[in-house]
Amino acid sequence: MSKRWEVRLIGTGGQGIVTASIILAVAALREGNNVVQSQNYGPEVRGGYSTAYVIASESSILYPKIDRPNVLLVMTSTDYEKYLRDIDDNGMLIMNGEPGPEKVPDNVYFIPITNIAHDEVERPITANIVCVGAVVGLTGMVSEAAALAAVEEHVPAKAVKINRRAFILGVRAAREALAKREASATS
Amino acid sequence: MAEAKLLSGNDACVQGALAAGVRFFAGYPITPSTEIANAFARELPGRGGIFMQMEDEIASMGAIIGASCTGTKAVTATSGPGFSLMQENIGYAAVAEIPCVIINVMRYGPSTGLPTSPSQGDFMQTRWGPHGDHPVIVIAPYTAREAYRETGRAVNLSERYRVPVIVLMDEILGHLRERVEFRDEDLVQEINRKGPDPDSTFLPYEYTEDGVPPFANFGTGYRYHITGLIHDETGFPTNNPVEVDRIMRRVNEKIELHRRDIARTQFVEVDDADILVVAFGSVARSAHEAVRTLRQEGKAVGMVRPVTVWPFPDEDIRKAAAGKKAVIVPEMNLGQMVREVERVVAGTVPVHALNRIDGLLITPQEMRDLIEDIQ
Repeated sequence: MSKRWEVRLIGTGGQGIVTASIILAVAALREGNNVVQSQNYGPEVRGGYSTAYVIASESSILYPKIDRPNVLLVMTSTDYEKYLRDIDDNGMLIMNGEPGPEKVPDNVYFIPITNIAHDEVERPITANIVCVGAVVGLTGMVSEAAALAAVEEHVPAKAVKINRRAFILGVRAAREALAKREASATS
Repeated sequence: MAEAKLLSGNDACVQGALAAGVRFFAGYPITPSTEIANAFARELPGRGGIFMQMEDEIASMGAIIGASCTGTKAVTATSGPGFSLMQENIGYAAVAEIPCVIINVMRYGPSTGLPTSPSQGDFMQTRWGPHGDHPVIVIAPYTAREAYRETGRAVNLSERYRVPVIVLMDEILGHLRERVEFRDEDLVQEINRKGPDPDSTFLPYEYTEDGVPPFANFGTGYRYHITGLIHDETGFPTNNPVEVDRIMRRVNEKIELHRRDIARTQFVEVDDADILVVAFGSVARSAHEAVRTLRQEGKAVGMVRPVTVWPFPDEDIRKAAAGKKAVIVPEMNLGQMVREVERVVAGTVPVHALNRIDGLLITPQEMRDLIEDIQ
């Protein structure tokens, strides 16, 4: 890891994005990086707006906030244009859902996170772990092994298997999105 | 010492307090300090300690004062609205000289304010919240690692000097989790209050060389009086002007007497700097970042960070500011610590305040912009 990763996750309270950000932070920490993780939320317990973020870097992290993330994942909307201006110029935007018919910019990826959790994992509650898989698969900010180990640590013992599956499916969807992007770039 | 782990500022406070021997917590949960109550509730019973959820913050302070009288190291945690309610009993602890620690995780105020947004609006309240001249020590960490070490130190200072010690956190530091790798210097040593000498007559507020009377823990066979009224060395109230003057000078001056042990200040690239930033708490993280990047560009900028913010480090600031072109004091309030800095430099160096009160942390870029304007 040579760069400073600034990853922000946007969702609603109860979706588990704070846990997702902690998993990413622990994985980055285990790989020897400095990390800062935090979250912002409104006063509601569930249903309110919720964002979480992770900063990971080889050098020490003093300023503990993100102004313009280089990775932004949005669970709650597919309106990517609205979020493009919030990211760093070289940043990546990950939207939860299927893309529309129009061509999207090269730095925008659509991963149907909720659908994967619902239809393939068959546990909607694992959407946050699919989300971890998608971020790791698309960015490579941490190794899949470190991320998977962190996932297993942060889910209940009886749910390890199902969350492992959610993570792997998230990574797979990310790889497919990358391959598709590459194919369209060379065609 | 241990492997690296992810630790939040709030959890780090709890770990530091436990390492220093804290076995009693009483509190009323409030954002952004609630995780501290949660962690004590989890950790204390298994260690033979007691966690009490109280009806409010007035009672919480009362409970930790009572627990401390038995010799049990006691902590409470709160935020602005609760901290306001605690002031009367903090004054009581200060004049009755009961060791205790209050963790104040600052949020935006006044009143209910912005519960989930940070602020440094309690800087002056930590010093002057209770009425009357009184001693207090206030420590403001800026990383989770430091929150651990400094909360442990807060417990020890409260025991050694029989004084309330406030750990001044803020929402940013309380709620962030970060990599913490403890080293040997982070090890928290347990320091206990001085007890009575069994061979001499016990005077609960005896005048001693170090200005700190011995403390007889309740239940150890000593019978004496503790009161918020001004008292003489027997502990009973007095309004004799000579006695009143004598005890109140001792109670306040014991902090000054031990300033060297209490003080802790960080200096970052100060010696050859033209411009000096004075910052504490989370804002000092932004200041430190600004200094780091400006130095990489060859600009002569330095930072002084009071870790112990009260007593204010007059000499450290005066020496660091001497001969500088300007001093900048960034704060998430309308200008509180800047008054102390202005008092200390007394017109010898221009002092610039940089204030933000929109509920967001001052960024390193804002500091750079101001520094460039001054240059």
